[in-house]
Amino acid sequence: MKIKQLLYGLIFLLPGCISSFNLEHDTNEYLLVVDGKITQKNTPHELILRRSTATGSTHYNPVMDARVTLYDETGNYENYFPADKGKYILEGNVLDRAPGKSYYIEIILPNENTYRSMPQKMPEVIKPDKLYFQLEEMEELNNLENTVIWRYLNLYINTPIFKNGNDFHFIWRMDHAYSFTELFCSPLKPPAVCYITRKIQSDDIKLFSSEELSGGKLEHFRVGSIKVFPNWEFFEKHFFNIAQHSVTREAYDYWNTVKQVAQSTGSIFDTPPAPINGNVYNINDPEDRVLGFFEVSAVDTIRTYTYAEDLEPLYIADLCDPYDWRTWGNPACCNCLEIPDSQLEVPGYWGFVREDE
Amino acid sequence: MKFFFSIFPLFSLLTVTFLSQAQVMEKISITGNYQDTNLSNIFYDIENVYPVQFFYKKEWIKDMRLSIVFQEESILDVIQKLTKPYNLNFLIYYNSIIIAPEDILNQDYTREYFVIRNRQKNLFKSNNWITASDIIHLGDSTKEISAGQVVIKGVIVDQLNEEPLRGVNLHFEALNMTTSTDNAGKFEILLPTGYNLVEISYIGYETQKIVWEVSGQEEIRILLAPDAYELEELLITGETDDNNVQSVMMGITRLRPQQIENLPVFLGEADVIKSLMTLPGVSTVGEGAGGFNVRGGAIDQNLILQDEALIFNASHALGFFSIFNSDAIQEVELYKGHIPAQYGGRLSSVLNVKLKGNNGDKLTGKGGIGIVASRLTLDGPLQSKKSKKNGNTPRTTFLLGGRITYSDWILKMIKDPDIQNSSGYFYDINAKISHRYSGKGMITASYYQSYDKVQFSDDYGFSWKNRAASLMWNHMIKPTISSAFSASMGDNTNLSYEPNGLKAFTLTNGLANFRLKEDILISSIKNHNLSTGIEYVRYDIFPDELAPKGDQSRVVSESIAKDNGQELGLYINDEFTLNYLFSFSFGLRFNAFQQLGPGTEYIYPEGEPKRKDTVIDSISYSSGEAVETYYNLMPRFSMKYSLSPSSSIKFSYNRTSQFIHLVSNSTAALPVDFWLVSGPHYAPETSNNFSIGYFRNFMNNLWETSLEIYYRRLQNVIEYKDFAELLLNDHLETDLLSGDGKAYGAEVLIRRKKGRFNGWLAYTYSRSYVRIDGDNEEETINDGEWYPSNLDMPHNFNVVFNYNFNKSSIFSLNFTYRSGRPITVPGSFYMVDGVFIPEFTGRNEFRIPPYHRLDLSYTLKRNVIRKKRYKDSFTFSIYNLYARENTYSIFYRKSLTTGRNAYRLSVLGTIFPSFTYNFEF
Repeated sequence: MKIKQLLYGLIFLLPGCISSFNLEHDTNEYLLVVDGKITQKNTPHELILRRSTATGSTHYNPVMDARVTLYDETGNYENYFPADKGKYILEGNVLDRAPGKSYYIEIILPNENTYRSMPQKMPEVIKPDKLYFQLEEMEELNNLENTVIWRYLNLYINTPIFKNGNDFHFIWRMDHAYSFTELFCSPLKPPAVCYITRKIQSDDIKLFSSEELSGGKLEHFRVGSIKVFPNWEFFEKHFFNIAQHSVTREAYDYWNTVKQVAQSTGSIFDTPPAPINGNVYNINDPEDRVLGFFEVSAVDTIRTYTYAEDLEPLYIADLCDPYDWRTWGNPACCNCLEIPDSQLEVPGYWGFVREDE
Repeated sequence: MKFFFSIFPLFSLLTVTFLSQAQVMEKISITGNYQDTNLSNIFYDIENVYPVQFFYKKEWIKDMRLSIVFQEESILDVIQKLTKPYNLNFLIYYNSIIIAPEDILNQDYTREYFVIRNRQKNLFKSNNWITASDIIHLGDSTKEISAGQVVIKGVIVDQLNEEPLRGVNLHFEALNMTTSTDNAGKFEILLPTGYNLVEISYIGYETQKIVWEVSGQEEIRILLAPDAYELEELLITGETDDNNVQSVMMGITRLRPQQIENLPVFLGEADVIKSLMTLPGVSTVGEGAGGFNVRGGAIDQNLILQDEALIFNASHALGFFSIFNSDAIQEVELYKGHIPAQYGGRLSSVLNVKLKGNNGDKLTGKGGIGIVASRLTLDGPLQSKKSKKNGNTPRTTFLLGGRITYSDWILKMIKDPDIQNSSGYFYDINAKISHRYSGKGMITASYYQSYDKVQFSDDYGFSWKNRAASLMWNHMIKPTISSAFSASMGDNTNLSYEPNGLKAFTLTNGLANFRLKEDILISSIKNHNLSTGIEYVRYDIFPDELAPKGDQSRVVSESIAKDNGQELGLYINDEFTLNYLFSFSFGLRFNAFQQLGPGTEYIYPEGEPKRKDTVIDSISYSSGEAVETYYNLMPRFSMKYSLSPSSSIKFSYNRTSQFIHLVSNSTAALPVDFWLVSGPHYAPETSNNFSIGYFRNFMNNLWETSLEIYYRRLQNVIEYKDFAELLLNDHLETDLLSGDGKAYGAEVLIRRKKGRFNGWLAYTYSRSYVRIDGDNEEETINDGEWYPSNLDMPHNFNVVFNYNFNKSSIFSLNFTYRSGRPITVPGSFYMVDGVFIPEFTGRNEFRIPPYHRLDLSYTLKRNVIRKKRYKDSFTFSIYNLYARENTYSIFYRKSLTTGRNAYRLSVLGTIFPSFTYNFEF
C-alpha cells in the first residue's frame, strides 16, 4: 500500500515518504527571546524572557532579574514586576493603553545589556459580529491506512472590515473553558464545580489581512478547529473564547512568517527557510540578535459554547459517572482541583448566552 | 613519382621515425667511387647493389652532380654526404629512402605516406571479401592537388527520402581517420590516390563498407539505407565515432530517440531530460524538480529550443517528465561546454531539440501504452501513392504526434479521500509539415502545444500551457552557401487557483515570445566553416493577474504589470582547421537588449535598503518606451590540439549573457514562478566560462574517455531576500538581491560505445557558490561571504550499463549517486506565544544526505527483422530497485516531548516497477 501513497507524492509532490531525521547542528549560542504583548485591556499583561534552546529540547532557560519597562510615545512608563520562570507582569494600572498611541518596551538585563522594541501604534479595536460553530465531518487515513471519519468542531467568525484608507490585520487566539462537577463523595462536602481554562496552541496560526479582500465584512472565516472525541470535557458547558487581535502590519508580517516556518512540510513548494527577525534590538550592539516579538494589539473577545447534545450523535460520557463505579477511582471525582488548570472561581463570562438560546 | 600527402609537420616525430628506422639501415655498409656523376645515377647504382630503394622526383635532383668516394661507410653517412651539398633531406621507412627538398619532405612525404602506401598494398590481402563491385572509381587524375592527394567532396542522404544526413561517420581505416557530414549532409576530405577502404556508418542506417579507387578530385552522392534492425548503440553519440576527439567543440552531446529508450525509465516514460542527467555536468536538485542544471547553473540558464521555437517550461507533472515526446524527436543537442556564437541569451547551456517530419518514404507510426500515459506519433509523405509510382520523390511530408495521461485511476485506488478527489493530467501535441523544393531547400512549419493540470482535492490546483509555432526555411544559395531562416512565436501561461471559499482565487502569469533568426553558412573557403547571422527576440511578460473565483470569493482583483523586453543579436563564427593538429573556433556575438514599458521605475536612495517605504521618486514609461538598454559583447573561442589521431586536448572560453530570469524562491520551479526581464534594478547576468579537456579514444573508438575541467564566473546573479514576497509584488526589486557567482568542477566520462555490452561511467565534481555583498546588511547574505548555492552538489556519479542478449532483448542498468544539496537548518529553537520556532542559521550551511538509486530495465523486441513492418517491444522497468528513501529536504514538526523534531521528506521513497508496450510500423 505504501506505493500508492508514494504515487500520491508523484502527482502532487506532497510528502511521499516522511521519516525522522537525526540532525545535529546545534549552535552553542542561545539567544534572548522576548515573548509578550499588551492590549488596551486593563488587565495584567505577561512578558516572558527566555533563551533559545538546543534541537530536541523543551527546556528554555528563563532570563531572571531583568528590568522591563513599558513606554508610551510621550515617555510615560510603567514597570513590569518579575514573577517566576522568566515571567514579568505588567499590572496595567499606571500607564494608559489606548488605540492610536505608540508603545515600546525596554529590557535591561543584569549584565546591563539594554534592549528595546520598535515602537508600535496600537490599532483600532474591531469588534467581531458573530462567532458560531459547525460540526463537520472529515475523512482521514488512520495509521493502518483505513479511512476514518472524524468530527471537527469548526468555529467561524463574521467581522467587519473597514477600508477607509487603512488596512486591518488580525490574529485570532483561542482558549476553551469547561466546567466539571464533582461526585457526591461526602455528606460533609457538597460537590464542587471546577472551571478549567486552557489555551489552544496550534502551528496553524489564524491570520488575516484586509489587503487580501475587498471591504465590507469578513464572513464565515474559520478561526478554530477542534477534533471532537467522545470526551468528558464536552459533557458540561464548554466555552470557546476567540480573542480577535487587531495587530500592526509588522506583527502580521512576523506571525505570517512564523506560520510559514512552523507549517513547512519540506516539500519542494516551500520557500527556503531563514531566520525570522522580530522587533526587539540591542540598542548598543546591532550584532546582538534578539528573537521574538513584542506585540501591541487591540483585542476584543467573542465566545460561544456547546453542550453535549450539540455534539450528537456522539455520545459523551462524564469523567465520573455516579452509576458506573469503575469511574469513581479518579481522584478528580471528589476533588476537581486535581484537574490541571482548574479553578473554583466562576469565569466572568460564564453567564453569557449565545444567540440561538 | 607521385606521392601521397600527409600534413604532418611535426619534425620531432619525423626525427624519431628516422632514428628508429635508421637503426636498422645503419647496418648496411656501402663502398663506391663516383666522379662528377649525376645524383640519380648514384642512387640507381646503390639500388642495384644494396637492398634499398630511393624515391624522389626527377626535378628535385636535376643537374645535381657529385664527386664522392665511400669505403665501407654506413648508408646513413652516405646519404647524408649525398644530400647535404644540395640542401636535400631524406627519410627512411624500412628499406625505402625518400629524398626531397627539406620543406617538401616535412609536409608531404612523411612517415604517414609510407604507412598508408603499405596499407593500401595490403588492402586486398586483408579484405578478401572485396569484389569488383565493391570498388568505386573516383576522380580525374589531372585534378590531383599535390604529392598524391586529392579532395573528395560529397553528400550523404537517406536512400528513402533523400534527406541529407548530418553526422554520418566516414572512417578510413588505412588512414586511421574519421570525418563526418555537416548539417547539410556534406563532407570534404583530402585522400591519397589509390585504394581507400571507407566504412560509412550512421546510427539507424546500414553500414556501408566500400573501396574508393581515388585517382583525382570528385564530388559524389551517397545513399544510405535505414538499418534493418533496432539500434544497439548507446544513449549518447557525437557526430562521429571520434567526434569527441576530433571536433574543435567540447561539451556537446547529441541524443537520438532510439537511444533514450534503452535507459530504465520512471513509470514507463522515456525522457530526454532524465537521460541527459546521466551525463557529466547535468544534474537536478531532486526527484520531481522540473528542468535541469548544467555546471552549477540554475534551470533558467538553459536555452531550450524545439524546432527553433523557444520553450520556457519544459516540465510535465511538475517536473517528473519533460515535455519532449521521444517518439517525435529526430535529434537532441546539448551544448554545455562551448556554446557557439549563434546561440545567445542564456548563461549555461543550449538544449536544441529537432523533431522528425522529413520521412518521404511511407507512412510510419510509433507509440506506446504505459501505466500512466500513452503516445502515438505518425509521420510520412503527403503525396499519393500514384505520384510515387510515377517516380516522383515525395516533396511534402508531415508529422503528427501526441501524448496523454490517464493517471487518475491510480489516484482513485488510494484510500485517502483527498487524493481520490484529486486529479493529475497532461497532454502534448506535435505537428509538423515540411516541403522540399527544387532540391535546393525546404520549408517547414512546426507546432507544439502542451497542457498540464494538477489539482489537490478541493484545496488548490495548478495548470500550465505551452504553445510554440515555428516556420523554418532552409535554402542553398550556392553549393557552398546556405541560409537557414526561422520565425517562431509561442507562449507559456500558468494558472494557480484555490477553488472554494472566501479566498478562492485564480492567479495567472506567463509570457509570450516572438523570434526571428537568419543564419548564413559559408563553406567556400578552404578549411573554414564560416557562419554569421542575426537574431531578434521579443518578450512580452504577462501581468500577474489575481481574480476572485466563484461567487463566494471576496478576493480583490489585482494586476501587476510586468516589463517587456526585446533582444537583438548579431554573430559571426568561424570554425577553422589550421592543420591536422590545430583547429579553432572563433566567434563573436553582440547583443543589445532593451527593457520596454509600460512600467514604473522606482528610485531608491543610494546605499540604503530598497523598501517600499524608501522610494524617493518614480519614473513612468509608456507602452513600448525603452526603460533601459544594455549592450554586451560576447567572445566565443575554442581550440583543439591533436596529440595523436585518437587523442586531443581542447580549450574553450565563452562569455554569455542572460536578459530574462525565472523568478522562483523555492528549491524547485513551480507553476507560479514567473519570468522577469533585465532592467534598471536587475542588470543582465553574465558568465565567463572557461574549460579545458583531454579526450582520448581507444580500440578504434570503441572506448571513449574524456576529462573536462571548467571554471565559471558569474555577475549579477539573482538571489532572494529571506521570505521574499514575489507574487503580486509591484516593487519586486525590494525582495531581490544581486551578486556574484562562481562554479568550477571536473567531468570524467568513460564509455564503451558499441557491442553486446556497452555503457558508460560519468563522474562530475562540481561546486557552485554565490556571494551577495550588498551596500547594507539587509541586502547582504552570510556576511557577504561566498556560500554554496542550492546547486552545489560536489560529487555526481552515474553508471549506465546495457547488455544485448541478442537482437531482440536488452538489459539495462542505471546507477546514480550525487552529494546532497545544501540546505539551511536551525541551530536552536525558541517559543513565542506557544509556537515552537526554529532559529535558522546561515544560508545553506548544512547538506542533506547523498542521493543514490539503482534502476533496471529489460526490453524484449519482436519482429526485429525488416520484412515485418509491425514491430513491437515490451519494456519492464524497475526504478529505485533497493527502495532508497532519498532525502529531498529536512523540515520540523512539533513534538510534545522534544519541542520540534527533524524529519526528512523523500519524494519517491520506494521501488517503482512499470511496464510499457511500445510499437512501430
